[in-house]
Amino acid sequence: MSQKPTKAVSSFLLNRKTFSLNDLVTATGIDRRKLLRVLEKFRNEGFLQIVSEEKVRPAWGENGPFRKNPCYQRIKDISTRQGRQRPFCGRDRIWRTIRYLRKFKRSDLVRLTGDKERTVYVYTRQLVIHGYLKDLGRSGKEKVFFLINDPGPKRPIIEGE
Amino acid sequence: MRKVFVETKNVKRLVAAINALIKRHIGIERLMLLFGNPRMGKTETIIWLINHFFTDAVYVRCIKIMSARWLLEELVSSLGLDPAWRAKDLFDQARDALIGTDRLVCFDEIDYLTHDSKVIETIRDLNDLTNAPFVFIGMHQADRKLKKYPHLWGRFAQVIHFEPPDRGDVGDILTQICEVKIDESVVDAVCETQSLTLSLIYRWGQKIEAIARSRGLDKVSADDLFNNNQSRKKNVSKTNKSGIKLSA
Repeated sequence: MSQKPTKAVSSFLLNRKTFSLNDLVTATGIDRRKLLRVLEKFRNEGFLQIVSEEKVRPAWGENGPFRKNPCYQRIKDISTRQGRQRPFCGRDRIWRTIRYLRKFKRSDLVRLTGDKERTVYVYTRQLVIHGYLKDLGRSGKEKVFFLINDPGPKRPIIEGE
Repeated sequence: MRKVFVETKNVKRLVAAINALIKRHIGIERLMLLFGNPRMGKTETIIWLINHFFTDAVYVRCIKIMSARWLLEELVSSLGLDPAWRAKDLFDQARDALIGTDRLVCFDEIDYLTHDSKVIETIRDLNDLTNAPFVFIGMHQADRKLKKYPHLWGRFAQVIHFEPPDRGDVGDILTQICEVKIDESVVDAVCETQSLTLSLIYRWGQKIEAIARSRGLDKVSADDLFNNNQSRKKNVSKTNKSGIKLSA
């Protein structure tokens, strides 16, 4: 299966600063109309700007008007572009709060995230089972947890989720 | 105990200050300093704000031995990007992600970094080039330490000092977190505690509930807190008469 145009253009832009549409078509082998659409999207998002616009005569055997061949310049790092993301859910909020606090009780999470006690209870228990949290003991009636394995800001996806 | 976050006067002041910071016009500095004694709830308030109002905000916890590159790496990974290797690339990544946005960036324990001008100047440069709202959170002498950098100090649009809780705050917190009724005398008694902090008030709340549960009270007064033996005798008879049972 061929690569999707947005991904192909993103990977092409990592190494090139100035290029024309023809260069892109030659490098990726994707239909130029689809590529032009992606380039316009990137331009509207502020990653590219047009340096010059040329028109190219149709190739031998092709019909129709002169083809557009704009020359673009990359003005912003394309790796900072964030694609479509899944919506932010309660577990994301809990995970973020755990990363900020490091050592916490379940009541701290309920108080700071505003999520239900049951949600916090189930999620922390799963994180303990999968080795992300460690149960340090009790402070009063409540368990105290500590974050021992931090894979980053994105919450770990647990099996069966 | 009820697991609720209580909006004290400090919290309200902070919310107002951050709103003012966000609404500022582009071209005006967007730096804010939040400082106060330890255990006043600064970090918890910021986390609560991030969770409820600024979901795309970034929180970076500073460490004493942090270098500028390390700080940038933490910031870039908190922004959800893959950190580059070179310091210049890291700076570019952070700048590109923050430029022209209203993403709140919070640096906790900023006074750890005040000894290293390189790190502080890097943060200032980033703020200059992106104009994103930055919040510095520090301990009780953070303002004095940051005054060493006059060009940075002049840029703070808001400086918030977290004050110790007053009587009104103590009353609000205890009535909202305790599941039993509280007499005014309890609030007065708690206010007399030396160097009162938020965590101490929560401990008082736990104690109040424990006393109410063990003695079967529906309203707790200062006498119940301090006169253990006498009140216990009284309350046992009260419990027998009324038969009140409290759920914990």
